[in-house]
Amino acid sequence: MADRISLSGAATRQLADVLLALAGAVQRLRIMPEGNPGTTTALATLERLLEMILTGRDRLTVEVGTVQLLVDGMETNPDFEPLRDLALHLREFGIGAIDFLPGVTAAELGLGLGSLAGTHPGRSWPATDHLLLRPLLLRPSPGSDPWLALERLVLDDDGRVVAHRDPREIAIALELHPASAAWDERVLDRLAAVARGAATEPDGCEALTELLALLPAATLRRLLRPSAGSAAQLGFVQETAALVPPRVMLRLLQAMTPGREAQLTAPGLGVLARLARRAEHPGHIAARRALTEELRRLAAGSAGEELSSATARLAPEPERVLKLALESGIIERGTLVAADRMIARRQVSPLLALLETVPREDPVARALRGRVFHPQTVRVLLDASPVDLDALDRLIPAAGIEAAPALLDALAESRERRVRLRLLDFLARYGNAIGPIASDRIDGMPWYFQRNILSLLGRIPDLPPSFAPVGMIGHRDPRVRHEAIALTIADPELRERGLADALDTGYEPTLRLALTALAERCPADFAPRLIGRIADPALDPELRALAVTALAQLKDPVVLRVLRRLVVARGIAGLGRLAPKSPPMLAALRGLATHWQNHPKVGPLLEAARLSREPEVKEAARAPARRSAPTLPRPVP
Amino acid sequence: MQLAPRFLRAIGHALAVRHEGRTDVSLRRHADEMCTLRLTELLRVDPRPRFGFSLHGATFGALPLAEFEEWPWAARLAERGIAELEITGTPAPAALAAFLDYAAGLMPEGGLGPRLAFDGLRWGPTLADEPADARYPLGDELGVIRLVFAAAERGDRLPLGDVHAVVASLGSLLADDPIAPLPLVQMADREAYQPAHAINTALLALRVADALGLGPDERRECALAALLHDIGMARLPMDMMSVDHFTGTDRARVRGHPLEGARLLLRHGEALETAAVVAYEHHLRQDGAGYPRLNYPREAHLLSRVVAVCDAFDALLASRPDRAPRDPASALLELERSAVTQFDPRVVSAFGEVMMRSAAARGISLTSRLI
Repeated sequence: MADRISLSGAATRQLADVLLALAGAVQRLRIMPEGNPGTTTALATLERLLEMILTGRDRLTVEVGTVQLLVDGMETNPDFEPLRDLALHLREFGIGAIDFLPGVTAAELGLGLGSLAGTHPGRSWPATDHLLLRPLLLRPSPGSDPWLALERLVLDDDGRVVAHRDPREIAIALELHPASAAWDERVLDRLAAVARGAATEPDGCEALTELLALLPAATLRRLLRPSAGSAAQLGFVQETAALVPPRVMLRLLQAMTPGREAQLTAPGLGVLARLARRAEHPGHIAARRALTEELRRLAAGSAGEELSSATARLAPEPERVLKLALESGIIERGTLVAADRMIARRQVSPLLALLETVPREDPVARALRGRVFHPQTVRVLLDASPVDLDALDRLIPAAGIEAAPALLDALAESRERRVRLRLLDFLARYGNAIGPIASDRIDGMPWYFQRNILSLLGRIPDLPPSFAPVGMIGHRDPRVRHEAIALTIADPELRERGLADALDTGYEPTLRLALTALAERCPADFAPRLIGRIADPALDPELRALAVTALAQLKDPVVLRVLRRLVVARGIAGLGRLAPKSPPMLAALRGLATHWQNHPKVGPLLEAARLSREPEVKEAARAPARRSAPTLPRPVP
Repeated sequence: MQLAPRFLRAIGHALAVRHEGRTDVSLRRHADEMCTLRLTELLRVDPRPRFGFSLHGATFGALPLAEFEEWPWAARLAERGIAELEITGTPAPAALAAFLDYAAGLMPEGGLGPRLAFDGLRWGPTLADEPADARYPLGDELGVIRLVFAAAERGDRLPLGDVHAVVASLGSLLADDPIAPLPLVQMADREAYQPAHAINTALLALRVADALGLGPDERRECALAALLHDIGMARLPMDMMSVDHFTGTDRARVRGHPLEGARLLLRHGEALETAAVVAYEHHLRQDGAGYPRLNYPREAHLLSRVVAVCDAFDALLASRPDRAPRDPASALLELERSAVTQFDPRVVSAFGEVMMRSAAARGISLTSRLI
């Protein structure tokens, strides 16, 4: 008999870990490109967990149910999405079971599970020595007949292949079974499945009605007591209520009442009993509907759910409730729930506007602020489309650093440049506090997110101690490298390393960044590299001009030679005349005027330039004051 | 919940003592005293408990008692002609003992049988409803709403299942026959006025909701809000409600009931949110006056406007220290006069239609209390 996997017990936990790792690996194989580090990690994790669990075993078999997995006689919870999705995916691919044998490696896992990565099921799967994917066999399974599943569980008879549908047999077995909340919950799940099936099958409906009528009151009370898995109860009641006759509904109501007297008292039950009597007459449709509703409501109440007025078309808008509360000073659960509803509906701006109409010390406003200025609100706003950036702007300072993960998530996911820019602004406002949180996220992420994180780190005063930008300089994407180099250049200890890497790059924005930095302060070692760039005719003249500006500040005769060569016209005909105007020529002239003006070979040149008819040439030759390097725009996140 | 089964168990024990032919008088007396004790407890919450007995077990009111499905005395009582038993008051110990003797077969059948009208006890193969039931066809619902108001008075959470049960019962009662007469409840007793007024307002609101074409969910919300619109009144001291004339302070406290009601209902979160809004707004007037004072001027919610009309209509029908009760026709006229300034004209119009249709269909004069 299958049992539900729970997290109790080390062995069960191990199994649960393996299944989750399996689901994670399949998921990554499906969505990530081949060779992605995330996939490699997931396969390695699965390999390690399998190695542990396969110690002392000859194999581990994971069977595939309709919406659950079965392993070691236990089944996974069909409501647990990751494993339910895995089961559905495996079924779609026609996989009935997976055998893992001792020694299975990450490579084998990658090969085998990789065949499930596509969107279209294939006809065959690769077999390896330690991993076997077995096809789905079309055999009768409990999932295909809910009565069979119920009987197997209730009668503890896994060998039963055909359902007998004998209500008396099931009722007796249920009565005699020792009380167990977990078991009762599973029975209710099975009964709910039976009711679902019975909705389209008159015989099934009749048998279910008979079963519920036959069950002793004490057994029904046991199954429906408030503590016995309220979610399962709710499911059972919801499926059953509309099917069974009013007298059986009344039995269910009666069985549910003990322990729920705060919701429904004996006189209240009496009213419903009269309603049930009325509902027995075929003409009283409204009575039957009302009884069904009350049965569901009672079950929903103990499941912690409210069948609330909010679903009705005329439900008051939450803003009305908040106005009422602010006027009257009422701070009750309904007040807070209304605020939550406004937040959930992304009506944060009107909510903030409402809060601004009352003094800060107003107790209701204070209670509401605690609700609104919360990281969860930030998350809700970020999930909306379009994102209300102005509301975020007001919220984030109060929500604190706890909101940062949500902002980082949004930064990774947002497709709008406008939003990403504002998010970077918001994140940068956290200052140094954001550093470690942001840098922890950088590994294994797509290049654009890494670029944005590096850009963010460049906007805070100090880099987090655990983060070394040098590690990212070798990144394959030039845009990520650019940001990493910007960080190293900003660090006095790493500046020269960064500049050296930048001068070697072919990526123009990075070269511009380095040349701009060198124009500010240029170590003498960089002269040969700069001269090489200046001499490169393929390089953008503006960049060559920047290189000239950087070079000009070095007191080296070679530098003077280079500068003069740029300013003086070449060839015999041009001897002693100025070279044609160009950005490098003007930069060289400006460099000479600034750094070499007193040199004997420079004076005549500057004189000649000052007599030029070209205003820019004249101006460059008159520039004794040192110019600051141009400020460059940051790359777009 | 357990009081009725406890009483039946005590009955069963007293019958067993007799049936076994035990001659120990003190044992029998003790068993009878236990019956009286359990009955007294039961009568505190249900003034007219009614039981049914058959081969299939026992019922309490319309409710089958699950734990008495195989109670042997149920079949025996039915055989003795006690298929139904109603307790109308506390019977004298001797009367109860005589009944138990008869039920246990110690008295000849037909001798002291159904013809005997013991004080407080009625039984027989079937019991015709007393005239009182005809006057108060919603007696069970009224009893439940009394409990709800009592919970509100204590400041406890309201038993939501009970409230919804009453809404369901009223809703189905009217849904089955859209032009059936409204069984409005009349209460001379001031203490019982509020629960009766709650039920009447809910019945009227259901009809108006139908006339306005509201859907099933909205119809139910409307009845729920109407049922609880004056729940804040339960927080006022009972002695204040029994005086003939309010002082200025009393009046101020009464004007606080919308706020108290809203507070009580918002405690239940979203489940009673609409009811809370209606409780808060049902004294707002169409011309912006009324109470409570609004810091954020707004039109009252549609259901608040519906309940305001129904509330006023039922209040006009009731007797007050300073005025005689109005008949339905003049009450309706009064509402129509106040449309535009006090009430939503659309709602008043729908209300008038409902009243006229109901009266015309049944040939009942609007001067009758049973509309």
